[in-house]
Amino acid sequence: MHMINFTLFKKEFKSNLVLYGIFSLVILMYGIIVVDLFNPLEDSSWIEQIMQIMPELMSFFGFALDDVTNYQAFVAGYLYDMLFILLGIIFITMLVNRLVFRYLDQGSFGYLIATPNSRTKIMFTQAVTLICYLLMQVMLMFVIVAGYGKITHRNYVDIGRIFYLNFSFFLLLLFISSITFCFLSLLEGKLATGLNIGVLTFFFFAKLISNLGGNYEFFKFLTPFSLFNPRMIVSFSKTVHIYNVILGLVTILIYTLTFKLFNKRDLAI
Amino acid sequence: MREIIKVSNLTKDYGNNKGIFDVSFSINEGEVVGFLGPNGAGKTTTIRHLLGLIQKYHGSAFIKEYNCFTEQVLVQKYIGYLPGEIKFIEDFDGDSFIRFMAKMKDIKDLSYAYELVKYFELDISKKINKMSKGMKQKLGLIVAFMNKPEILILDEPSSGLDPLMQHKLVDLIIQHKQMKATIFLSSHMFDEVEKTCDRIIMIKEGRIVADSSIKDIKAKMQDIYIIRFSTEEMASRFVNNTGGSIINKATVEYRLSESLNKLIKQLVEFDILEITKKKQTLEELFMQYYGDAYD
Repeated sequence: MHMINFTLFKKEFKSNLVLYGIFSLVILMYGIIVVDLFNPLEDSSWIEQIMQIMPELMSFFGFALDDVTNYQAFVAGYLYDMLFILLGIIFITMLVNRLVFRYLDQGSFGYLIATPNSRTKIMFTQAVTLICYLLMQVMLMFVIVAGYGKITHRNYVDIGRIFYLNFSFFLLLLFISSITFCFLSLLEGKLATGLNIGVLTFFFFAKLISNLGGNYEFFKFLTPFSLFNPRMIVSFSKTVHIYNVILGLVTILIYTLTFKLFNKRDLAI
Repeated sequence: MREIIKVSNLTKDYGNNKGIFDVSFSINEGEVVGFLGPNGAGKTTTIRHLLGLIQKYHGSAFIKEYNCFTEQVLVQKYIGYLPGEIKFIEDFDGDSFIRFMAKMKDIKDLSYAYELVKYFELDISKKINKMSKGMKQKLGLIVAFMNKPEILILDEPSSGLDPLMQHKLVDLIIQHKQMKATIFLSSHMFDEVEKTCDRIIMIKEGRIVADSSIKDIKAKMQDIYIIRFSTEEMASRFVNNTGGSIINKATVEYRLSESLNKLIKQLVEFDILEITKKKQTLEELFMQYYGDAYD
């Protein structure tokens, strides 16, 4: 591969393993707890009755009928709709900070550039390291939710749907990573970190608010995170494929633009 | 002779009269050129252009036949570079940093690198973030010199080094000069420049103010004598008749412009307590020419 510097990749991969380990432990813990929490009911008719009597109240508490009968919908709602996104944002920000921002901010990036490697090659290597870690993160999630789920709730786990859920979530992580990568490599100092956290926090909370539904549903138009709708994904709804394609294309666009602009920027030593 | 570094009308305006303006110079193959100027004069900005780290406003910078910004990768093959403010990638110890940089630069033979480690007496087992400023400087020098590059660009190479190591550095630069390296070094240590360089380029407030060979500059240098008379009256009489200036009571500083004999003849009639010769340094010469830059 001509686009990657393996020396740098190896170095970066090694020096971020601890960070990955810590996040993995958190995911492992939460994943197992939530999977354990799934408690399917043999007879769900009484819940259906309650849902019919006071639907608003139930949905306000984020409760859906699916949750007690459908394992896929359950994990989608309790892990992927919020918790994993939040962990993903934190993990990505910390990683990009270590892979790109601190070099630029401290001025040690010049040392990497003062070698016969182009800026694009170095940045591409850092992006590949980042994406590798995201892939490993998603694979771990898949193993917990599909593997551990299969052990505890054998008859309820649909591996295909869970795989697709994780694939879509990986696309969302890539999209988030492109935003962070863009801000932290093109802007400087507090502006970079502030904008990154500000924008992602806004997207995240807009999604949470839009989940409430009703009057607040319009919030979904304010955040690209709406393109990732876990409950829709596990139902294999057709729009989900289109959403995934959009996420993928936007991600590629942002990364390409970032590399282009980074080539033109002045670097401190 | 072949031009290795060619900078033409390079301008980078940071506003407020900061930056560099219309900087032009060239350096020939095998030449050792000192780049002098006070802090903030634009030395590092010029060097960053050569390294392809920043983009010009207008003008151009070439190393060999390559454009420093657009063909930065090709340029880097020939350069050993020492940054002015050394900021390392901190998660390394000295040895792993040398190995990492060698791999990044595609250097297979590390024997010279370890020779340099011995030469500078550097403990490379230490973590970089635990190193003193002098140790970091040595590490930076080792990485810059380790593949005997054709071109060396050194930003303040002796900063942070003790006098013994400064001396060793001067020797090292001279060794590489003999290996036909082209060397461009910025400094405000006139001493090391005087010992190593063929030519001096002087920058002030972002503009080149002087560019001349050490030979020419040395020819302009004068011997200075410090003469202590027995009385203040004699000192002032000497100054009135012959010249020079009183620096302290009966002590006179005299710049020799004619033959030494003539001075001695004039001194015969005075009662002299002490005569010492003071060689004018490049520093003093520059202060004479560009005085306010060194205030």
